[in-house]
Amino acid sequence: MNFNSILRALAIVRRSKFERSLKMRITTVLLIVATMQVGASGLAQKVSLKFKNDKLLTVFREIEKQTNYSFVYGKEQLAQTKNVNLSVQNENLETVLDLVFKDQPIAYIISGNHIVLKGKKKYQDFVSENLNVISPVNIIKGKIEDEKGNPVSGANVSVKGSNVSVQSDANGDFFIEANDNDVLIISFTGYTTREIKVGSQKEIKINLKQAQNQLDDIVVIGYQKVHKKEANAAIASISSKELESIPVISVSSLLSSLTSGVQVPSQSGAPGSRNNVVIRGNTNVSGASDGTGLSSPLYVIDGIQTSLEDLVGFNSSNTDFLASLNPNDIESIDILKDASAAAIYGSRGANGVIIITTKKGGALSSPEFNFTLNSGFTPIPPLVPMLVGAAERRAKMDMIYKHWQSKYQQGPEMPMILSDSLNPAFNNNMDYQKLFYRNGFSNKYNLSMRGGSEFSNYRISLGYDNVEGVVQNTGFKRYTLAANTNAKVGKRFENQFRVGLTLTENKTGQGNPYIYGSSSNFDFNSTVPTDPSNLNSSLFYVSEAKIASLRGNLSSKLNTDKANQATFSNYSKLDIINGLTLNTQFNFVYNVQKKNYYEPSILRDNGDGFASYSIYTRKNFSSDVYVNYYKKIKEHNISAVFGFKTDYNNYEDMGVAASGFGPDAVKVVNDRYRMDQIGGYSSIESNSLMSIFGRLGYNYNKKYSIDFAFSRDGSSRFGEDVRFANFPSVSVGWIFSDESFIKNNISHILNYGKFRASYGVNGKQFSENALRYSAYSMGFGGNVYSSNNMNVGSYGGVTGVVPNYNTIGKPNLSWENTEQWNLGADLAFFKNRLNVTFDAYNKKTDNLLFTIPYPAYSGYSSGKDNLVGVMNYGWESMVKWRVLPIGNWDLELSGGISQNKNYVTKLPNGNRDFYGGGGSGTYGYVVGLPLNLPVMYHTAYILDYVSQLPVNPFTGQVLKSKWDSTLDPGYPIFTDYNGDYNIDEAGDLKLNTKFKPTPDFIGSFNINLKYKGWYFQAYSYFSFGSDIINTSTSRYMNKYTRGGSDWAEKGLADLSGYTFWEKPGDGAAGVDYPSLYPITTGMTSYYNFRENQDLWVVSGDYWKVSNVSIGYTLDKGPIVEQLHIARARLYSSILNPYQWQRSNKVTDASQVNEQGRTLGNGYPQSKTITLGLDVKF
Amino acid sequence: MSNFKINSIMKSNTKIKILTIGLVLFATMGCSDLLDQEPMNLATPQNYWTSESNAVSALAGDYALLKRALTDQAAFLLWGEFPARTFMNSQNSFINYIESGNYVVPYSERTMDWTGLFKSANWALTIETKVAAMPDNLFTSIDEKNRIIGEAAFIRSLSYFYMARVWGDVPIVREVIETADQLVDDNGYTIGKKREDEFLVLDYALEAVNKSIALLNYSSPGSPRWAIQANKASAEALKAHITLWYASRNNNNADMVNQSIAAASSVINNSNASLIDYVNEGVAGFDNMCKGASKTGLFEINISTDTNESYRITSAGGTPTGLTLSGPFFSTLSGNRPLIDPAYYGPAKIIKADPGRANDVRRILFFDGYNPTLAYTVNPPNTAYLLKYSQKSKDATSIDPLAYFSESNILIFRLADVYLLRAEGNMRLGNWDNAITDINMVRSKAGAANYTGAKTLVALTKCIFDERALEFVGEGQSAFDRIRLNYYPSPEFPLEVARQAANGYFWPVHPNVITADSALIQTEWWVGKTTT
Repeated sequence: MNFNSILRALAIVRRSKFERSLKMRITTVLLIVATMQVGASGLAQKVSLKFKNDKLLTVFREIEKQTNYSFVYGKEQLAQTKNVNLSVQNENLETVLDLVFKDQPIAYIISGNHIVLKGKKKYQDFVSENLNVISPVNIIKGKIEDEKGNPVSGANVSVKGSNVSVQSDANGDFFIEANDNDVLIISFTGYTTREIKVGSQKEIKINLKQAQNQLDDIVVIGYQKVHKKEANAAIASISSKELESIPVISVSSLLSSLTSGVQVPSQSGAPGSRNNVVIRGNTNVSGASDGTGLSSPLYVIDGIQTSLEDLVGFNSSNTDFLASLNPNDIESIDILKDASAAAIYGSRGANGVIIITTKKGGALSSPEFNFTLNSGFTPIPPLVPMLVGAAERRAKMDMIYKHWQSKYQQGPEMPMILSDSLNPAFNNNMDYQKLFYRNGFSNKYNLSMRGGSEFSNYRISLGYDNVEGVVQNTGFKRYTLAANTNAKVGKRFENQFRVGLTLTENKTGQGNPYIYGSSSNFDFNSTVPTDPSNLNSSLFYVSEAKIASLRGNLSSKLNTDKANQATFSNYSKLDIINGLTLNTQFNFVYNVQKKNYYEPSILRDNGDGFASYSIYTRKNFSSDVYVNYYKKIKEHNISAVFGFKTDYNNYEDMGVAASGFGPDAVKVVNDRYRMDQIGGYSSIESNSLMSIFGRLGYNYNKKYSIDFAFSRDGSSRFGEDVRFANFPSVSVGWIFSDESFIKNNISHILNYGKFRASYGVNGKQFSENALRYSAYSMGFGGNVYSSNNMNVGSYGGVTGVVPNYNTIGKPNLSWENTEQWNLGADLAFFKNRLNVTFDAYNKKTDNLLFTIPYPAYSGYSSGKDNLVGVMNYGWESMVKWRVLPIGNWDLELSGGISQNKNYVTKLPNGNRDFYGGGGSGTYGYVVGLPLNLPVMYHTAYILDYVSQLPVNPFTGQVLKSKWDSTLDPGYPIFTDYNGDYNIDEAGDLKLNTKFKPTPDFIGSFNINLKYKGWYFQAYSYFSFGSDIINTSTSRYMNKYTRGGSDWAEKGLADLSGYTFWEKPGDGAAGVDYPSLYPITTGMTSYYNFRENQDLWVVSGDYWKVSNVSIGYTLDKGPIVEQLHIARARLYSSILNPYQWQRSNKVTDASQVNEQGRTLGNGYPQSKTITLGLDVKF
Repeated sequence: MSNFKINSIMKSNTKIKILTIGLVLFATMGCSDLLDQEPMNLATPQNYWTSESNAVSALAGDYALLKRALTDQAAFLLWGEFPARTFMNSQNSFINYIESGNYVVPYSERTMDWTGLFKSANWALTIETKVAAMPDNLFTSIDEKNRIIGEAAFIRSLSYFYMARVWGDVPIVREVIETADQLVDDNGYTIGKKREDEFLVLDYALEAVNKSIALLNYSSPGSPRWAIQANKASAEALKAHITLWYASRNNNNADMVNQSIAAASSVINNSNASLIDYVNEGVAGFDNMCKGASKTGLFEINISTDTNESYRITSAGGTPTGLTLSGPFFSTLSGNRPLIDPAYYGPAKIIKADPGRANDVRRILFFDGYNPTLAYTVNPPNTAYLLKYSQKSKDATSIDPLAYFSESNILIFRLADVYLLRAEGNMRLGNWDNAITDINMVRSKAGAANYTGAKTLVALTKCIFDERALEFVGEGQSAFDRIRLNYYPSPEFPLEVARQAANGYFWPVHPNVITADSALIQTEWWVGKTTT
């Protein structure tokens, strides 16, 4: 049998039926076979046959009669066949064919309406053998490889101007029929599309280059993957390429550099500590300043949706959510910023959606191993210079001699620690900072392997990270396993199974992570012992045990904080009919967090020991069942998704703690303690979510497109009447560069241009599972007085039950919802070398949950209700410019810039101004102004002469203050807003409406440079125009004016960098700060350094280089071959190498909380230098 | 999914496939009860009212709320004792504010906040409503069910009565508040409630106490819950108080006076309580009374270590012990201690000026430091102090030898109170002899001579006020007695006419309470005087 004979046979048998050329037909068959792209329609046709020892040809004729199928075969093929015995009644065609060919030496394959016969020999071999003899048909054999010589499977090859197209197989091979003057178009997502003239060549090797053009990228928009070109939504994408040589624990720290419109504020430099990801402005009105007061997005990792609201209470160690994911396993990150894409995530998409896809297995000729190794060194960061020993004493004594009258200098007010310089308890030079800091070392290892065929493949990745923090006994250890297997069964079914395991161990230094009850977060920042304003004086004697305890590593002190997470997920896809697929995904996530803590008796004031243990588990089951549909009718393209989602969380939580006398060797809660010394709790909670979602997209000729997305969600957190809500969106797109007036005129400048517009509504849930219920408190005894160990919980001996008057249920508590407009444009110029994306948006968030004080007659103090509105609007732009693709050089510059304005639109009680934070308030909300304005005095000037003070014309009394009726030179003078010639809270402590809590613009600037195997990468981000509050310095200096001797007993920083008021005239000359006058018992104090004055407001401008790395890739040459490796990459990188900031008064302008306050607690984001090796073999 | 399944799906026709998809989708959609996640950590209004013991616990909680409202910052003494300036001249610099007529007391500002009493009143109304709706068969008897409702009604009545006496006009909550919808309207405005006329408040309290009387039974000393929870006699005593207060505020409303006398008589006849004979029972009788649940008690707040419902005795200013006791009870003289000042109204006008009290044992029993031999004088240097909160027991868990728990109940109503109320009612009706009989009954138990003064309203008013002031010293009655009897003798009590006209004897409302409720206005006298 040879190919020519087949052709001949075809010509004979089928000529009459064929309308197009014979060559074409056979080629089509070949291509179909080669690529397994087989349609499935019509197989359900029924036939009834009865044959007794009849020829195969007779059978064919009969089947052709009963169906609309025809057979394609060569005569030679029939020659070797056996006769058929068969009797079937109304049976499926496929079943019948199986029976017919069961014992035949030939097989069949179905293509469209044709049943093609083929040898049972492996088909590829058949084609190769016959390739040379197919002279009538011009069959081209091709092989597609990437830049590194790896085969590219699944690439699309088509003949320009025809409908013929094939895909490359697992080895990158393809066969296509084409004439000499045809042009082949080879395209594959992520690679530059190539056009190749066939010419006389019969075998073509094609190299595809990775696309520099982001428009070719595939983006995930929720249950669908589309080309970025086709998406009408505002999406920022990051590929693994951009992440691979940056040795971070969590990718969240890189998001600011790689996108626009995304802020990642961080309050601590501790490894693995929480970063917040804020997309397009904050909408959180909780007033919290512990890192939870910022709005957070929905995370979708391989289809598993997690909102941080699901994890509240769980993430109590302040560990970053994304730290549970090894950055080495990430394939791509897509950030959905507007409402149109996120609408399909309905109730949880209001703050944007971050979709992370991890790496998968692939069809490879041989298994591939990838090993990366990373070693890093974090030197002790520059610290606040502290005066130690004699220097400290001298500086403090100088203050006393300068400011104090001699009656105080000689009196009992003189702090003993300073005067008693001979006392060994006060005569030390303890450098506390030396105790707390160390050089940190880090190691990261990652091994991944992948392999398999197109039909079944796998990827397994193992990771180990150990990062030491620069503060003693802090650090982060992580073990990860990520594995997936992919299988194709038959022609229509695909399955992917994933397992992820993550174990983390967080070292939290000396802090006690135990929380009695599960509601609050453990604030790591407050337990860092390094806050310069809280360091003890260097003069004190400190015992060895205390030193060890301060370091947090005392041997008898136990402090572990471990989190384990297991994720199992199975995704299946079934092709039902052309273009229609059924998809299911079932997920199970199990989190456990465990904390053990023991504080030994020598460290405790009571001399007893304290032990605690807490465990928190979360089980999450979720499922998505959805159908996908694609249909192309001429120029009309339709795509649709419709599905159903359920999500269920179950939380079980318990904690136990005990304190009492006993041996320190026992570090757990056991019979060492009496029953009454042990306290504990347990808790079970659950929540669930159901959603019906869909998306309908239509485009005409890929030029005009419109998309509708819709989600109807129900949540158990809401009352039955308000449980469901609808979240619709619509978006339109116009690729105007495809219009002829552009194409014909300026296509050499503008390659691509698209306008996009979208509108949609998204929701957000709150974290409390049972907020809609009123609750009763048990064990209420009504005692308000101190009762030592007696726990009063009854009245008349009967356990008392009362309403929990701190909260009241609201059955119709409902969604916080966000309405968002987006207008965008994507432009590509100069052969795609310059890409520009621009988006403008308006995001109106309403029904935000807010605590409102209730009227006293109710008995209830306050409660939460959907009451507040916030608006964010602005624009963002990202520019990527491939400057230098000349010769071996390739330079790409990219930069993003965005501007977001934020203001409050609605407050309860007719928009009454809100002051929060207790007492006279520390922050406030006002309609029309941004969130989180500080409550402050305005420091008008520093007083030089008393004569400067205004005089009350009615009484002749000069301006006075509540705290000190005579204002002295050197005091900061606050504006007397209410004009009562008295500075006090009542009329003069106000919201600082001039304060700018949000920056004018934030952005990023990145450089990517390649030369041959070398590459250089530098990422940076910046923020300009916001105000921040220098809380750390204020707290530090405030100690000096609060009386007592606390100031003397705390450490003293070297203040020579600041100027203080010392003599009249200094105020006018513009010194930094008022006079530093230590106040002791008996002196009245004005509290010069009170925190709530705008003296502390400084510029928040900074430009931070987040990463610089340089590397060399070896992928050919003798070394690579000798070592039998495919590729080796050696690189070095520096994290956080440099930061510029406008204010020299704060340690790190980028480390602020949501209210703009700098913590300055001594845990900086430190510089880390790493060396890395990445080998593939 | 097994291969078998896949094949079968593939082989079936399109209709079946679409049906399958439909089935898969609807099978998952069918479980819409997935969204009914009942809270397992919470007792809620929906799941709580299912048994008698739950109802009993709710009632206990309500007493505890009342206890908290009255004892927080020692409010019952700040409201009911110190403004009257009868015996105790406080040395606590902040209590001095009250004695000088300023009820904005630093560090005790919660005494201006009525939230605590609304808590006990509202919870009472909730209990009344919820228990009434529970099926009778959940209770051991219908009497038990009625008892729970009746006691709750008593607490509601007493809470409002306190508010009427402290603030006059207050809001009235007539519905069970269970959801935020009742407190915040759809536009985000809190729903205010204005202060209603004091007579409406008293009517509301009266209605509740009548309900309570109808549902409760009498009890007797030694029975469980005696005095520390309400019985029918407690409710009648409360009714006698309310109606008499009503009459006083309403031109001596005769109907109210008659109701008061009837209620008082019923207590005296039916309560099974008896007066303490201070003369014969001496210290033991007094101690029993103070410990509480004694034969004379009608309603008290329970303070006892027996049930783990006590507190540590301290000299802190916000506690009954701190505001009444001193050294040598404490190791040192307390800076908060009150002076039993010989020149003060009580020592001077009640004891010294009344020769009939030569043998009145109460000045010895009730006070430490009243000189037993030198009649009417206190020991120098004025170390006398009140003993009503001096019952104590050792805190075994503390190594401090001076660590004591209090064992003194807070006495709200007792039988002597009812006798004197009936005397006052009769006085208001001009039944001088009946009034004097009751007065003498009380005096006789203390060894004081029978009343011999004039049978006039003025004379008897002073007599009754004085008798009550001594008998109930430290029990938080005197200040209310002054208002009810309108007894402000000069020159000690030059309370301005202006102040009386503007209800200046009522307390200011806490500014925070006013801020959170747009319908509220400050008590007239205190407008502009409360900025803290």
